[in-house]
Amino acid sequence: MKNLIVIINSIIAAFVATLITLTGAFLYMLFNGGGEVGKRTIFFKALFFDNVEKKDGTVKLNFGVENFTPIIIVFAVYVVIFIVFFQIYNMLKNKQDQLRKEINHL
Amino acid sequence: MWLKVRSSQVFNLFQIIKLYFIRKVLNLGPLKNPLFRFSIIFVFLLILSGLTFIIYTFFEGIENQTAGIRLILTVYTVTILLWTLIIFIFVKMLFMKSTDFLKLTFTFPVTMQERNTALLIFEMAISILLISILSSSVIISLVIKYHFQFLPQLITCIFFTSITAYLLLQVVTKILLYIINIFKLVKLKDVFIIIFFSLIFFELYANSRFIVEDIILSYLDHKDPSFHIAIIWPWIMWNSNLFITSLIFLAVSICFVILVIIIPDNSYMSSQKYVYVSIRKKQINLFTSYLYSIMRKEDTMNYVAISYLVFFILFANGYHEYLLYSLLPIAFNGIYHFVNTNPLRKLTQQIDYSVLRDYIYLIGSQLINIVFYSIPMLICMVVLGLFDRHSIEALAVIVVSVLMFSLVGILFPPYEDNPFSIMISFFIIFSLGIFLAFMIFILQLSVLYNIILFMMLVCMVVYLSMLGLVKLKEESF
Repeated sequence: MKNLIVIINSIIAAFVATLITLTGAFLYMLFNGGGEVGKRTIFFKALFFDNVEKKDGTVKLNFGVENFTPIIIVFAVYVVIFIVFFQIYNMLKNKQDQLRKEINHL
Repeated sequence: MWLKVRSSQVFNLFQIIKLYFIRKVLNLGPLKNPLFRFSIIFVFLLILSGLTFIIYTFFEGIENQTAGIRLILTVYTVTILLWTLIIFIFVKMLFMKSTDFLKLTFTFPVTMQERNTALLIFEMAISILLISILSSSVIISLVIKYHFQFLPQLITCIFFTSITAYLLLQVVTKILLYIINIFKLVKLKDVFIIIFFSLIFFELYANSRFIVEDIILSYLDHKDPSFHIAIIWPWIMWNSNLFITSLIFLAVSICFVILVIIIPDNSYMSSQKYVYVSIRKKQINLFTSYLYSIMRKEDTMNYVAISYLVFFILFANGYHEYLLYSLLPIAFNGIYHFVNTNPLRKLTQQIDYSVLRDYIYLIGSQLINIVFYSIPMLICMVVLGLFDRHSIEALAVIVVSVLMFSLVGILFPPYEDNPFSIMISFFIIFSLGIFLAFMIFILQLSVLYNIILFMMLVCMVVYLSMLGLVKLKEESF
């Protein structure tokens, strides 16, 4: 049961972390490119931003997800990292509780 | 003699309210965790950068800078006015329930006027803070692009407008409360005030379009816009300078503040919270107790009245697809349901407490309450043939709102009707909501993927609520 909760917590944390990373990467791409016309990609070519100048002078914007694979891989990596993080945290917390109990017995 | 306000006492009271805010709000629930605080600040900064970038890019495309920025700031003044009204109604709704919280000031050696002044300053500070947060992306992008060239215009359009509007609304509230007290209708004061200002908001919202049209037409004709009370501060600024505008602003503000202080106000003194409902003792079980807890609450009646008013306004104006969204105020009441049912929870925790059962009862009782009060609306819509796909979408939004507000109530329990914890929780939930909306906008996913993402979020909300209940149970032992 405890392991299942660790996995669920890790999935939630990884989901939020992936979303934050994607937003951060997208904003970085926006700020970094200036007013250049053309297609740009970021996050291992997962996200793209394309601005095309039309004949009448107006600019057409296109953006979104081009490739889901890097996002899924990053999500999986985050899940593993968070599982390891939560497991280490639980181990240290158990050890701390054990030491406290021993001190109390003394 | 009519103005018995000692500045030292007001300052002390303000400090106490501030201390209460820091201790009971900024260290509440998940906010105790530094990592959570850091995440919230990070998310907020991400949203701010995104919005600043969009507005900065917008300013880049403006050709006639001085006139163009002046036009934008003048139109923005109307928006600020609407936001001030929304924030004012929001703050009033929160302080509607603050009798318990304000009890701590009753024993202090201060006059009612000093108490009201301290509260006014605190409410004003919150309002200015919220307006500043809302306007921060506009201010930052303007300062980055033009440095301090448009600072006087920013001050007059944003801060002068919001402060005077807030003070004026406060004066109107005091006058209304005074009249309500004369007619001995104190029980109806909250619902009356909220309905009155909601009507003013709808009226202002409808008129704002014409004001904005007039401003834009004047710009196209290369003329100054005609005078409107909504854009009084930018108007004075065009016809004088910052110094004279500031002097007039100070004079007007002082007059409003004096009026707010001298008009007597005992509106935070009511004590009755529940209305009498006849209960058959045979039918009492834990679930019905949860149900009666929400149905008997006097505030629920107020929210029902507000919901029906919104329903009729939407119906009269032909916004038929949004009719069922009028149930949102009743769903909002779900924030307080966790705290209201806490005595029942404490009892069951000593016998046979189950987190799953508690959560199902918490949500189930709210949904039944909403279904009960929405029956007349639904009958009306079905009879008139207005029940369609939009209505089902609205019902889904209401159910999700109940889950969201319950989560807020669990994570940041408004003990003793503490209005500030609600403010903080709203700030956090809205920040996360805007962040998610921004994320969905960036990803440009298909409908199917959006539905999957939405379902994942709902599952997350349910899971986090139950996790919150487990944590609170552990803390109570």
